[in-house]
Amino acid sequence: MEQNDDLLMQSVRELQCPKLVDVTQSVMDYVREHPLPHQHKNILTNSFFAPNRKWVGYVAAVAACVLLFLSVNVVMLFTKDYNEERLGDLFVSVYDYGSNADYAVDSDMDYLYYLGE
Amino acid sequence: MNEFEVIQAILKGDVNRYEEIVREYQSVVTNLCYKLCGTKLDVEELTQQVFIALYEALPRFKFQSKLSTFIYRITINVVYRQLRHHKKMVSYADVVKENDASPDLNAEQHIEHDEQINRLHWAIGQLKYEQRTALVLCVFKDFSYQDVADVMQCSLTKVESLIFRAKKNLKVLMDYGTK
Repeated sequence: MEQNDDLLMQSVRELQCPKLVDVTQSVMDYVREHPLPHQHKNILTNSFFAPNRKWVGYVAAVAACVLLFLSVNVVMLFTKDYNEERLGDLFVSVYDYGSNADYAVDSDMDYLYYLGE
Repeated sequence: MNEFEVIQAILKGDVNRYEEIVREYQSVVTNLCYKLCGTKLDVEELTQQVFIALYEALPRFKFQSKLSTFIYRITINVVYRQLRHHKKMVSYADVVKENDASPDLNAEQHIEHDEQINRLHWAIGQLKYEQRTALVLCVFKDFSYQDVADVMQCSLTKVESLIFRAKKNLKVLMDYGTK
């Protein structure tokens, strides 16, 4: 019984297409006429900003957050309703007021801040 | 052929490299189509459709399986789709008309060879598509049952069951073909 099985499987294995088939030319004609969508040559192809690079998106998102944070602070600096203490902290940290100074001023000389206790 | 390098080149725009894949797998795909479809369909047309479908599917290929497995899977699906469009049953007489024996055989051997090949080809074509696919893949390139399961994307148990039933049905059909 098993021998018959083996013979049968061997026959199936040996079954070959009687025709000689060569589709290379027709397939290559099709391939050349129909480029795949992402093969179009533009700035996004094979570039740093190729759409299939997920990590570019992550970096862009982090950069956007940082820019948002900075722009909020800049906007706050130039609006009239800023918090004076917060503004003072910002300018005190930026300007060098000397190691022993008790007071500091902002860039427009509008505000005097006391630094001592 | 370094498949990864060739596919990367094709995806980057060097479509002429696709010819390497076609030349490498053409005969394998042709034989697989021939065994799967029987004589209902034009094998050359099927082979062409397989390679076109493969080309269009290349961007989705992530090297999670071998390229050959991917190609066989596409072949099975293309043949199945075409068979659904051509549901006409093939008689044994139709098969006899289609197949030619090797030119190296003498007249008597020709007849016997023809007879056997035709019978087998017809019998395989009568099996249900799943059984036929499992059986053909099982004898194909010394595939293990696990390889067959990977190509057919089903469980090992199912493959074993399909092959068991396919062998049983094939034996019955082969006996029927001799009458």
